[in-house]
Parts: sequence; structure tokens; C-alpha cells
Amino acid sequence: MSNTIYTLSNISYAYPRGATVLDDISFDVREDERVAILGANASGKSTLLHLLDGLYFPSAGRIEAFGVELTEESVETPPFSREFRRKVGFLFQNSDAQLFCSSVEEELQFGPLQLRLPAEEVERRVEETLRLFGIEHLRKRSPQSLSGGEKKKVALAGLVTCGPEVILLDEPSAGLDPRTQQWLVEFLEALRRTGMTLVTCTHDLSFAADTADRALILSEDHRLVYDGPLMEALENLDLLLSVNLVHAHAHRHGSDVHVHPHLHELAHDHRHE
Amino acid sequence: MRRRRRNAVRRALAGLGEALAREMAGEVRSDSRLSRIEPRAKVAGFIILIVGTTLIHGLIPLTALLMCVTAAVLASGINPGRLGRMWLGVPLFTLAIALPSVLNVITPGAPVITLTDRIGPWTPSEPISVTSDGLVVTARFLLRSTVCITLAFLLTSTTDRAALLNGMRRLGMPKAFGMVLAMMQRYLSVLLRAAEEIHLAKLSRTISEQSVRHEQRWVAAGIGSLFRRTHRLARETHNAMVARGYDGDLRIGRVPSLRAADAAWLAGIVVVTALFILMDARL
Repeated sequence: MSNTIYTLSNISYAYPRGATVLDDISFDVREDERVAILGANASGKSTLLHLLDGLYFPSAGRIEAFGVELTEESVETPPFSREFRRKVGFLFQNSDAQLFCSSVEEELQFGPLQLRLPAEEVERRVEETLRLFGIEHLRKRSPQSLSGGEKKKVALAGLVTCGPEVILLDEPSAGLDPRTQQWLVEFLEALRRTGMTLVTCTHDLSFAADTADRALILSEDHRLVYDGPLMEALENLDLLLSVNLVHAHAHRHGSDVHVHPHLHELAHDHRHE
Repeated sequence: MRRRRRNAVRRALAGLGEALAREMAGEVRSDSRLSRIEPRAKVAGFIILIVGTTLIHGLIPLTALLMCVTAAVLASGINPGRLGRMWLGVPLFTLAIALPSVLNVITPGAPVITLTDRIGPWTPSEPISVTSDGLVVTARFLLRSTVCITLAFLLTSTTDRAALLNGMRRLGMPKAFGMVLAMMQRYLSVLLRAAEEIHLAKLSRTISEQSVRHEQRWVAAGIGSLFRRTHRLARETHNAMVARGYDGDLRIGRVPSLRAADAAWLAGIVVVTALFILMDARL
């Protein structure tokens, strides 16, 4: 029986001016799970991920990570703060925000150095990660000169050098070309085989299907409306329609009008028997 | 006429942004002898040279120093066109600032060329003229600034940005200051791109010219929009740093010790600088 990493109990979050972003959310995340947090734009997915990483704190409720409640004090007080930052990595949606060092090599060094690892260990991890990601040729390059796909790889590499047990990914497939997206899917699968716990927030259902087993679905009124197997959720078109993850498709045959929920990525033909 | 002027302004602004972005991502020669010098020793050496330059008064030593530095730039394999572009911009600007110093109203002395004895209704006590002392003062200022700027150009063209900032940190620059400089260099191109996008978005929706007042209001709104984006990016970047263990105390990588070659280079720079100062004193 795997250990519980996160326990969220009746979490709510609201902005200072009062707009509710998350409303009474409760769930657990266990070791080795691959979880997809699904929801339409502005449903609170990204905010939930920030709460899991101890960057935001709930207006109500309680979050526990590795048995310790996440509060402003606990995430700033060693030794838990250092352990938590080592164990949990966060891949931001905006790679430009994540890549703030002058070179790729410095990016990969940053995390281990802040975690106070010895210099030799930092160098060893950087070399290993550059080889693992196939980005040795980018070592001295400045992040601003990288393509979108390269930035995403370097951002992920910068997390891996810290040796995390959990990776939180915020819309990881956004803006990636198909080849880089496929590379990301395969890399996340390889991480899963090492026992890594993955929590991905996305509204890309095909990416979620490739990278997760369990779905947490947020509605547009910021509540958790589904917690269960991902495939069952993807087959429940009424559920997906109700949370604006698919659209209702209407088409006409003569005087007959058909309206039904629809999940597709490209234009296609309908056939009616 | 107004449209031609506005187009010229737009082209100038776009050109400035492009030039700045090009220089920020500018070529760094990593195959020259200079690039092999340890960054801390290199930064210290160039600081010694720049300080030495400010202590030299004679035009001949300054000219000789400029020729030596130019030769070092060319020997480092740096594109001479880049040096030429840099000289066209910065020293010309310096000359424009210093030019009034040639006049006897700023620098008294023996007149070389008399310009006028009357300015509108005003008749000065002596004719306005270019003086020999004024020419020397202006030439000295121009030569000194050109040497210093060329030295800075040589340093930044033979040292990658990360190494340059590391060198400055290891010489005692506060870590926070170094981090601010690094972030500024990293994000300037991002913000320039955002500013360009805001401008292009507006252009793509502009059919007819608007009044100056309208354009001013639009520029103010654009500045506000860019500030909001900057603030959001700053918050996200801070979160990204905290998420990877940053706790307010920045830790940097291992400091390599100075090699004999680096110490010899630094000693050489001290000797060369002292020689030029001596030459200046003798002349």
C-alpha cells in the first residue's frame, strides 16, 4: 500500500478582492500516482497546483504534504522547507518565468546549489542530466536564445537535478510542437517507471489520456466534481460537457437538427445510418 | 510630412529595439586567448586598465593606448564591423556632449578659429571662438571615453555573460546586485518583445491617424499594460525561484582558484598600465 503524499481537506482559496478560485476541495494523492487535474480555463487548476507546491496558501481548509501541514511558516523553516523543495518540483506553464539564469548550465546548477548540495555532487548531477536530456550542446547557451521546446526541456531538466519524488506540471503541453509533445509524453512515462508521482494540470484531454491514470475534474464554479479513473471520465461526455471540457456539436440534416456532446481535435465527417 | 515623420520615428524605435536585442545576444568570442583568462582576473585587469586610462592626460599616450586596445580587439577575432558600429554610436554621442568645450565661453585660451562676435542682439565681451585648450580638452575627453568603451566592449565580447557576472561577484559585488544584473540581462529581450507586440497589435488595428492627444493616451495605456506584464512575470519568476529552494540567500557555484597564467596576465596588465602612466608623466 503506497504512502499518502498529499491530503487536502476542505480547501478553499479566494483572491484578496474576494473572487473565489477554489471551493471546498478535498482529495489525497498517493505515491506513484499519475493524476490529471482537468478543468476549463479559470476553473482553478493552476491555483490548486500552486497550493500543492506551497507557493499559495488556502483561505480555508488544510493541506498536508509528507505528513506536515503546509503553512507559510513550515515551508520557510528548515529542515522541512529544504526537504519539501527537494522532493517536489514544479514545471511552470511559462518557461520564461522558470528559466531565469544566464545559461543552461547555471539553470541546472541552481536547484541543487540552493539545496546546499556539495559542489562535486552538483557537478555530477548537472553532467548526468545534460546527458539524460540530450542537451549537452545547449550547456553555455542563454535561455533567451532557446526555442519553445528546448526551453521546456531545460526547465524540466532544472527540476530533475534536484532529485524530486513528485513533479507538478502546469499545462506542460501548451505551445509545444507535436514532436516535442511526444518527447514529453515519453519522458513522463519514463519518470513514472522510476516511481515518480506526477500531478498534471491541463485542459488537453489527449495529453491527459497519455500521461495520467486518475482524473480530478474542476467545474467552472471551482468545485471538485469528479475524482476517479481518467478513462471513465473521458467516456462520460455529459460530465465533460457540464464542465466545459468538450463542446456540444450541432448539425443539420434537412429539417432534422442533431445536438450532442463532442470530443474531437480536428474537423471530421459525420455519418448517420 | 507628419506621416513621414511618424514612420521615421517608428522605424527608429524598431531599429533601437532590434539593435539592443542584437547586442544583448551578441557574439562572444570563446576561442581567443583572452577568453581563456579566469573571469575574476579578467574583470580586475580591465578595471585596472580603465582606471589607468582616466589618469592619463596626454593625447599621445591616449592615442597609443587606443591603438593597442583596437589591436587587441582585432586580434581576438571580433568582427571589425561590430567595433565600427560601436564607435559610430557611443563616441559620436560623447563628442556631441563635449563639443561646447571647444568654445572660449567654456574653455578659455588662445583662439584658433573665430566664429562670431555677436549672438542675436547680444554682443559678448570677446568674440566666440574655438580655442586650442578647448580642442585639447575635448580631444582628451573623447579619447579617454573611446578607450574605456572599447575596453568594456573587448571584455564583454570575450567573456560570456554568466562568467562575467561570476567574475564580478567573486570580486566582491553583492550577490543580490549580481542577480539583479543577470535578471535584467535575461529579461530585457523578453520585455522588448512584449513592448513590440503591444505596438504591433495597435498598428494592426489602426486605420486612420489619430490626434496627438489620443496617441499620448494610447502610449500611457501601453506603458501601464507593459508594467502589469512585467509585474506578473516578476511574481512568477520569484515563485519559480522559491519552488527550487531559494530562501533569500543566493548560493553560487564553486570558485575556481587562479592559475599561474591568470596571475601572470594580471601582472602584465598592471605593468602595461603603469608604463602608459609613466609615459604620460614624462611627456
